[in-house]
Amino acid sequence: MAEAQRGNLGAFNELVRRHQGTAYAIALRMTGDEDLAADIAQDAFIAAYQRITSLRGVFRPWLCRIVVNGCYDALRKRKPEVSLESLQDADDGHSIGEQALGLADPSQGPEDRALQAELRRGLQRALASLPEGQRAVVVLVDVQGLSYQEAAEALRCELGTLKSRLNRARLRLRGELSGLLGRQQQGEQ
Amino acid sequence: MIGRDVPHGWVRERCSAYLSGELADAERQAFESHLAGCATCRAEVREVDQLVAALRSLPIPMPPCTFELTPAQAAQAERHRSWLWPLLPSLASGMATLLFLVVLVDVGGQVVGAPRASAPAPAAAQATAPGTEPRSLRAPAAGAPAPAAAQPAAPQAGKSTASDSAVAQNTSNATTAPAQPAAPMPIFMPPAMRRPAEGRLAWEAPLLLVLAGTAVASWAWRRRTRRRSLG
Repeated sequence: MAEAQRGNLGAFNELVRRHQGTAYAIALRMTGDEDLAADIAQDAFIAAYQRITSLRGVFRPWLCRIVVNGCYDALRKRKPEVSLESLQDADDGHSIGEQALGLADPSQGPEDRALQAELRRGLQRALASLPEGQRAVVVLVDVQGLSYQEAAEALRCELGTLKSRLNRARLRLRGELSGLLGRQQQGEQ
Repeated sequence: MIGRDVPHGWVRERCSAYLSGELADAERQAFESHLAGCATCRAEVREVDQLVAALRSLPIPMPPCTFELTPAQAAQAERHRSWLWPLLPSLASGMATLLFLVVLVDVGGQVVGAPRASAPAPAAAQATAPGTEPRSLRAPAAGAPAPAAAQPAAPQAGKSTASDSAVAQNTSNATTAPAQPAAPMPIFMPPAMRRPAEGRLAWEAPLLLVLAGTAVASWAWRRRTRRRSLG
């Protein structure tokens, strides 16, 4: 990272290669739109290149903050279209490719695969129904696996605030997906 | 000590903390004893656990392309790079120093100014600006002790705000009674301008010094960054 901070483009692109999956995944889970997610991720890396000399901490949470802020901006601009509607179109496979969101898993049997795909579709739809702040916490911690500390740094909030926001978001998601989760449990038994 | 009969809300609030093993022993025992007797909460906790597992098992989507920057994109980003970002650290320290110096000059000036302000009223009145003199003289208790004089003077100012009178009162408290005619100043004035300036640093001097220091530090920082990026 020190090399990248000195303006070495090769070193910066090494960071891009290492973190582009995370950046794109966060943007896709936040917006539910592949093209928009790719634009957000690309813009985030350009912004990161411009500001990397001011970075004093760890790269990953800092990059996540840029991506999440990019998502907030993009969602605000797109507000009239309402992201939830575009995500609901995903049921018909229009707005988001199922492959992109990992809704289909070819390694399972047909019934399991259908249930898993339904659960994942439900998850994406329920995520879209969350307020942006709660969605960001769930995406960073539960989907991307950031530690509480990293997520708090990325979202610039206190650890306690992050944990209570995460708990509220999970309870809300559970409320949305109660039927699906129950069916999955019965399927496992 | 937490009782065994904790409410549902208490359990819901601690659901994630319980699942990630963050509850203290007493809380965990209370949580588990509530779950043992409450099927609703038990189902909820189990479903949240399933939900977290499902979220964690979501596959990481593959980016449709690489986001590596081309030399052209990097050059464009360099051109649009805000000049402010690299300056932020030095600007922040410069502003902090400036604030410190302003406070230092203010406090130091008041301490140095205190004995001088005990001069008799006419002398102090002469030292004030001519523009403030008529209003000060119109004050009903111009020669009286500070609080007594400051309060009648405030209505005289007519449109002066509460903060103005607070500034006036602070000044009058610092300079004691005879300096009163200069006290009810309606607007904020830098400390050195409220007092006679001879034999004392002007208020602008430290400000200019700090600004010059900030500029030099910023220039050095930019130069160092540019040299590194070229090398």
